[in-house]
Amino acid sequence: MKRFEVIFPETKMPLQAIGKVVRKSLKAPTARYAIQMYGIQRSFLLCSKEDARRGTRIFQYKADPCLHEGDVLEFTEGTCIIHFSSASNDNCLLVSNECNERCINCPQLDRTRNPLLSERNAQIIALLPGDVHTIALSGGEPTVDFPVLLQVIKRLYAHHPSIHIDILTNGITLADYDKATELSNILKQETSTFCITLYGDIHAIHDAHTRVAGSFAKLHTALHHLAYYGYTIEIRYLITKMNYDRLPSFIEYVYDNFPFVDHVSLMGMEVSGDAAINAEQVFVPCETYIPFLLVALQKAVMRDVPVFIYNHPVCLLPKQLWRFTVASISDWKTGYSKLCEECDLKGYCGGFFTTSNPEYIPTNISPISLNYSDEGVYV
Amino acid sequence: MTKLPFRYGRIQDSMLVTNESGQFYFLSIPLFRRFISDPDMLPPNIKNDLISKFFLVEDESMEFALEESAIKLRTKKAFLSTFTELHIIVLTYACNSKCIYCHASSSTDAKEHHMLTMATARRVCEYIMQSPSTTLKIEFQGGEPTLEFNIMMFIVEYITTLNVLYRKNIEYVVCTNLLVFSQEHLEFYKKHSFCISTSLDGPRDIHDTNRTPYNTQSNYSKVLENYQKVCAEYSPDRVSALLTVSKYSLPRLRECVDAYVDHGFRSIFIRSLNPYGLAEKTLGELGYSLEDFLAAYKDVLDYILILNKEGIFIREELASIFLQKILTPFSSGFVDIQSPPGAGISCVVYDTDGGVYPSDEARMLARCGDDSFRLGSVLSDTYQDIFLGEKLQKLIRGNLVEIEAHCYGCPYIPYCGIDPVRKYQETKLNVPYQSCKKYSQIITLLFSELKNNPDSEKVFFSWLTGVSYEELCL
Amino acid sequence: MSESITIAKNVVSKRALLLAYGESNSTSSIEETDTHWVLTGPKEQDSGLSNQFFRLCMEKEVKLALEESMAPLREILYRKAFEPISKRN
Repeated sequence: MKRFEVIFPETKMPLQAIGKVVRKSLKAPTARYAIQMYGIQRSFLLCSKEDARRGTRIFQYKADPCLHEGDVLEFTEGTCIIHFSSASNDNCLLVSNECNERCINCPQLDRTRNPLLSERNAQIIALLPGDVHTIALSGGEPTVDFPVLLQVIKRLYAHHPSIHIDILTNGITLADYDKATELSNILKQETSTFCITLYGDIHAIHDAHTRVAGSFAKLHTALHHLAYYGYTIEIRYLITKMNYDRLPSFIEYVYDNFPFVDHVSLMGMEVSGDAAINAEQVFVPCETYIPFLLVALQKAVMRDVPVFIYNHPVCLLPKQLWRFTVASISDWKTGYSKLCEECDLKGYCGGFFTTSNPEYIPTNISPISLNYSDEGVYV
Repeated sequence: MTKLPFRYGRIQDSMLVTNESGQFYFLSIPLFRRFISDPDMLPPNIKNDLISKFFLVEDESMEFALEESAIKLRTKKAFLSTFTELHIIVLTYACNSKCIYCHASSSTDAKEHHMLTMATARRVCEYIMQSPSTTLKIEFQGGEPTLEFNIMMFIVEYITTLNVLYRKNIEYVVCTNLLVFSQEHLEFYKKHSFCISTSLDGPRDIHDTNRTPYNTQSNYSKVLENYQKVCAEYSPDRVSALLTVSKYSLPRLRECVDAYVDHGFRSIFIRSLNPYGLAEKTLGELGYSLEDFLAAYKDVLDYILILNKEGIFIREELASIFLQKILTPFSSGFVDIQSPPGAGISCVVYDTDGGVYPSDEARMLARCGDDSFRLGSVLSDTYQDIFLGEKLQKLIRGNLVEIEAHCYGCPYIPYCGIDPVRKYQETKLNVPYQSCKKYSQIITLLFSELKNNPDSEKVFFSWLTGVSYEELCL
Repeated sequence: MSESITIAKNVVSKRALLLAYGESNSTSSIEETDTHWVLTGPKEQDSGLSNQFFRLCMEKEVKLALEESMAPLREILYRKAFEPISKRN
């Protein structure tokens, strides 16, 4: 979640205060944002230090956060967190911090239960703009507290009946047929997508990543339940040192065993959190696995399985793979190097994770020049 | 480490292993020996491949592997969950052509011009609609079915009426020689989205040798004239053609493929002659040995592969039936090569007298005087008698590759199927199973291509996905 | 001169023998004693074919043994696949 520093007003604020930007004003030398807080009638102001006057309802920002009307914010402990922005490619609702797996590459470090989440989410949902199109439910693991997940979904539909919901989950809770059935009665098939991570085509590799025995088997059951109830499923493969050589077999495995899957996403890794701690075991530089990526993609194209490559700078990949790349890194995590300024593909390419440990941020970035001519565009 | 059920057989210098859900893997002979005696000692990447493809399983994952394999097996046999999807209706024995190899019991003898009466047709429709399948494919055959166009129209109308109640998804196919094709026919086919299945035996001289002229016009000219009409005013996607190979075309199959390509066909079904039934009389003159057929087939398949790699999309249908089973998790939809056999449970044939048969071969056997496979009549037997009776059940039970003695241990079991009538005929004649020889050699050919030529694998997938070879190359 | 070979019954089982016999052209008759099979090839046969037939018998023996060992799992698999599904879990 993107966040920025604020100085709180002098009045007593609740522990977490959720509000939305109702107006952005650029008349003054620095931007001013009018904030409507949930449950509080009088509106607040967010502005620069220089602009601020003494007042009971003024937040001061250190640097202009470049917000938009409709952004949903949380003010907590000297920070402002942006939970929702219509300008963002990655609007995510944290349903739970907790998780039922312990993935060796998990970027999230804080897994303690947060009792305030429920109320916070309820407020965020209430403040979402009327024309919100998509939201992702994430965590930790969003299915870990199942009744809470169902609550969130119901609440979302109450305010926005046709919202598209992406659920980022490891899926194993849904190996329970009753839970899958319950979910099928609430989550609409036509406007939802499950994004589920599979780390390998054999249980030894998958379970070595999730560090939970039996997760591979449970994932299969969950996938069959989801397919049975007609859900759209995306399978994600996070490319690590422990599984990159299985990329081609993985594609065949998905085709042979989960032909109902909508598409497959091959993900580059964000080297932060547990991934950074375990980098020795999990990090593999792009150059090492490119040959496997090529074979895998050839197999996928042959079988007409749609594949996307997420989280890879385009210049690090061979040309035949460019059409599969998606600028997928959350915009607030995205970074470009100085060299990227000269690159013709900067708008198309998603850059790389700035949140990764500095030593794992790729250094062999090379800008691409496109030649435009009447016949077409060449490199 | 335990081995899951598998079968094996040599392909050139390797051992092919296949499992119950049709997955396959090639092992060198030394590695195969290790797989049998001590799988733990296989190289890690091979071991992982075998685990991934459900040949090996770590003991703690046995429950999971069996569960997943069961799901895959069920997927392969999913055709069992729809009962009688394909219904073939013989409208008449009359025909406006006389093909030298015809087995479809056509005759110009007036006495033998059986045709389906409206009353019988009505009963046939009522039985068809009782099929529990939500999708029905209704195929019109003959002789030449367009000679009884009124009955065809009546059947479609009556089925449409009945379907108001049943609400099934219905597709129509007409198997016609395309010699007669009026505007009325065209409008009717368009209105009901018919698929048209026709015969094109190759270039002009071959086609016209096999098939008699229409009035004074060459059969070939007439067929192509009408085919162009269909393409122009309806759609080329709705017409497919098959090739019946006679002695004349056997040495010239490449030219036949060229003829198909020249006329814009995207698929060709290379069918060998049915050596039994009514064609038996002419077999001496037209026939060829199975060995000769297989040699010619191999040659033309090589040619077809080359054409595809050069950018011409032309799919061979017989190969595609096996490829669908080898390369995808699904079955092929071709009811004559499946186990349990499609006869009577996936496909039903209704004769002009209302007789119900499990396959066209069974009907033709009856025409030769042997009604062993007649299941009953829509005019005198109940639906239960015909479809749930002991005769059909015995037929199915006795024709399963999974338990047939001849098929014991064959690695191609997941891809194959028995034609009950052929087997019956060959057993009576005491000849070895010709279909087994034919199918196993073709399957071996396909596996050899898969093993040796990655480009051929791409062509095969292009046939299964419909996407052209170039588009499948990265 | 037709070739004949003798195979001990405890080396090749009857089932393997019959499977090989069904597949091979190199043997025209089988006789049975208490302890042996006696196979006679067609006239003008050399010993190479007899060895070939013996090898085929042994291949069939291996195949039979493997199929037998897999039969229990195969049965479980088919039962799982085709028994009615009530509740999945």
